Amino acid sequence: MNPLTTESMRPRLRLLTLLLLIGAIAWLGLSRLQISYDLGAFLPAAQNPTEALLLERLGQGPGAQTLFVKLTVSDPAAAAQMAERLRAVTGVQRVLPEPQRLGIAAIPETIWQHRLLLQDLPADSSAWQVELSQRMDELAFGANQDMLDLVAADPALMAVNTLADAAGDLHMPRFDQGATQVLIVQTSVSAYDPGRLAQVVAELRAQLPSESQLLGAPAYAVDLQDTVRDESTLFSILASLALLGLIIWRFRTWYPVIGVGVPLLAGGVTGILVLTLFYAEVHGITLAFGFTLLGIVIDYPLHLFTHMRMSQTPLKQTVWPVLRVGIVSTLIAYGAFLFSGSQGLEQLGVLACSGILAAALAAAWITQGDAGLRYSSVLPQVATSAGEAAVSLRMLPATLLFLVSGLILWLVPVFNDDLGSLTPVDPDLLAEDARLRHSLGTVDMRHVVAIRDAQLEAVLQKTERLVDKLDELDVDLLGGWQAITQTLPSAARQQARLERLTDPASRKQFEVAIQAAGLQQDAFTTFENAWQQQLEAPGLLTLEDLEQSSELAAPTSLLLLKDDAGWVSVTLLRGLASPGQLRSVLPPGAQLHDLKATAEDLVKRYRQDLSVVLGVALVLLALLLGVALSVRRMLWLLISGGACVCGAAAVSAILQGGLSLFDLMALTLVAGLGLDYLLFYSSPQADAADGAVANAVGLCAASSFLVFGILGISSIPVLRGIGTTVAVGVVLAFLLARFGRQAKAGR
Amino acid sequence: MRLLMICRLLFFAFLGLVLAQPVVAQSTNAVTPSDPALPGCDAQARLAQIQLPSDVEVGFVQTHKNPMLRAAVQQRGVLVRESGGDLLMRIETPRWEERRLSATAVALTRKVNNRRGGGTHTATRSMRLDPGQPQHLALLAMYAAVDGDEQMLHEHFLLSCAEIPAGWQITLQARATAPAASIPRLQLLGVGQHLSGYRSETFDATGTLQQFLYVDILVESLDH
Repeated sequence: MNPLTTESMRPRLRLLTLLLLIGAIAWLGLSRLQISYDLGAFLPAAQNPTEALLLERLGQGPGAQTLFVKLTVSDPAAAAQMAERLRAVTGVQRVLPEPQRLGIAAIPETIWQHRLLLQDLPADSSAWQVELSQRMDELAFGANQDMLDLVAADPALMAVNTLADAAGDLHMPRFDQGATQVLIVQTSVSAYDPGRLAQVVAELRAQLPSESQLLGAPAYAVDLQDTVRDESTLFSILASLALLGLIIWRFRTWYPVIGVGVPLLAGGVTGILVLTLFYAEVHGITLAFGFTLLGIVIDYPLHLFTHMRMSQTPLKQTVWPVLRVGIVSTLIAYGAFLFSGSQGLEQLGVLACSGILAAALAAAWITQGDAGLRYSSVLPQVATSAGEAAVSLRMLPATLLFLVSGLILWLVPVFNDDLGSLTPVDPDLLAEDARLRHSLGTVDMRHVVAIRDAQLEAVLQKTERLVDKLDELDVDLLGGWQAITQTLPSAARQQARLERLTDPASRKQFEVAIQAAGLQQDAFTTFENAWQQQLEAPGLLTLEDLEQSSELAAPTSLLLLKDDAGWVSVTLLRGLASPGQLRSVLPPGAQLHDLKATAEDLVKRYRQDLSVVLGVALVLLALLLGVALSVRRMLWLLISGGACVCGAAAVSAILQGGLSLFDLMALTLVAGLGLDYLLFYSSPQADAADGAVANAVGLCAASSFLVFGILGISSIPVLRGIGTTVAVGVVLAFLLARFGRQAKAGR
Repeated sequence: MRLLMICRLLFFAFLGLVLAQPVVAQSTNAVTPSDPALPGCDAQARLAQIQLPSDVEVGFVQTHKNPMLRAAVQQRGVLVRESGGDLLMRIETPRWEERRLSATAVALTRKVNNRRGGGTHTATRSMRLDPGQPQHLALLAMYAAVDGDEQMLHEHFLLSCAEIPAGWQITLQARATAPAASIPRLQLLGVGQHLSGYRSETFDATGTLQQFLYVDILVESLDH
């Protein structure tokens, strides 16, 4: 039987009108849509200097921008050729090892001009003699004219040492061991910019032979993006097919099949349009999670169509009163994200709330004048419970589940604030990465020393005092460090060096050393001329000089930050054996920051803030239900809803070893879905609906379980977590709703 | 007046002889490779025998000179081919220093005065040498010779072997395409089955010796 005959022309017209409207909204929204990938949008505002430092440094710095290339070649020349090719890739800043450019031309002009102010002169003539003799030793293996010129102009290698300090002076891996060569690639792309990062990694991979290996955080981030995209696509297709099959099986006609999808589509495009009206850029993650949250709107047409099929009672009497409460409840729950404290989640709230409203309107629009769609039921009736047990008994399972899951959540560690545990990167790969970093002596990504002051000169002077302290430490305690004062000494220190250059005794010490080291008297004329020039034009090196240098601007910005409160110098550490011991010797004003602990604290605070906001939403929800429903029904809804949220949280925490921030979003969805089922099952009209409620809720639960159950088999911990949490929550909500349907009472 | 001039000439000649003494003393074995009068020998056979036993200390004397130095500088120390693959040159006089050589890099470890509180600490500076460049070739030749890595030598150099009165010498001509003038002339010297010396000499465009590095291995210390 075809229900859409002459009588059904009106619904078809309605659907067509709506699709046209959706098309217009989609065109408008998508034409304005600018997608951003700045992960910083999902981080909360910093509340203390350490958090500010963490947020400033996350996604940049040597750790987050360094890649390691393992080449399966034994010939160093082949590795050098490959390094040259990788240097041509856009976004690549350096590829180590670099060609030896021991010549004046390879040194930035700024450093070369101020080299006499960047390092101390050797202390006396004997120190100069040692220094000069060492230069001669270094030249022993054959020096070209460039090297001879360099030594003649800078015998203490002040410029070269300054650059080596500024570059971090990595211990390069051996090139001649076995069949593996390692290259270090430093990119200029922030980890906050996954689009560009993906481009750089793709270009690097295109240059590399297939058997080579690319390690490092940027590569993992890009691989993760790809895996997420691939799995999301696969699961979306699987979920859509499953949902389609379910709806076709239940309705056996095309109108509901299209009708179920249209409100979701309307919600999605409207949400995007609203976002573009309020924000210049919409985050990619907002869209991904936003559509997950919007999944709830599929329930609206499912309820409506099922009731239209199975019940003769008008929708405005059976479905809409309950659906309205459900929609407002969901809006309250999702609206909590508007007050989350991060722009990303705020956008998520805007998308979800506006999308739900639009979807509800769309569902109402396509089911209005439902007479055209109504016909005698072809659906099997789901048996409704005939039990008339006391309300208290019906509430027992929900109460028990609430108590048991509450106990579990109290006993086991509920939250896992270690974001690292969410990474799907192969542990063997991470171990290899750690081994390489250790052997290369790369900077510690976890600990940094920060010094703050309102004045730049004060920060530099304090940093010099810090570096003097670090100098005294045993190499076993601290392998090395990078500080801004290695390239930008304080004005006071530069002035002191200038005064030493002015002292005739200094010049005499140098001349004595030349003689004692057995060197030609005129071997260092270039250096002596530079010395004289420095005295005649004693300009000090400034921050502006470094910022204007294409080679030095990036390392400078990494080690010296400016914020509203003033200046912060960040000293990077290498080979730190004992943070506690280091902390005890730091000079006043210098603070050792553990960025991992700070990140965990940040996530913890973020989660607590979000929990408070969701708690407030819950109270508002209770108030709404209290106003809209009877006290008994409200109690049953709250206990059952709480039970399914707590139950899902407990099961998920046990299965995953703790809940992440993302699971909080999933639990919000569980609350929305659970409330939806519970509201319908407990509605006074449920009995009058001739089993339509059971059919509709069963269909909604089955569709949600299918979609999120499929997501639960993902290899990405975040997606798997969301899938598992929602799927478990849906099952619990459905069972509790079914079991407690006789608890309905009141309005 | 004439007598004074003769005296001056004799003085400068004497001075020249004295100053050149270390160089002459170390280069007596050096014979130009192009000398057709020298009987040839099998470079491959020689190289197959000369690997230093690992972890055994062998004395050496290094003499080097460059245009900035008034005279050649001599250093003494011990040489160890480490089982891990590195070649360690520990300089004992005139100042302690360790050089760790691989085929592409040299790491120098030295004593450095502490900035505060007196005393010294050791600091290491690594210098990486680009494949094919003159410095790399000089280093590679020495490293591969001590390591007995005949294949590496063949890969980078054309080898010619000649018998000389003091033993044998292998001249290494770089296969690399670097400017010929900047590539040092490299030679390995040997006595019987032992490597006894390494020579690196750089000439200017006119053929005048500009820089040299001679490493003489005290073979007798190996025999003991």
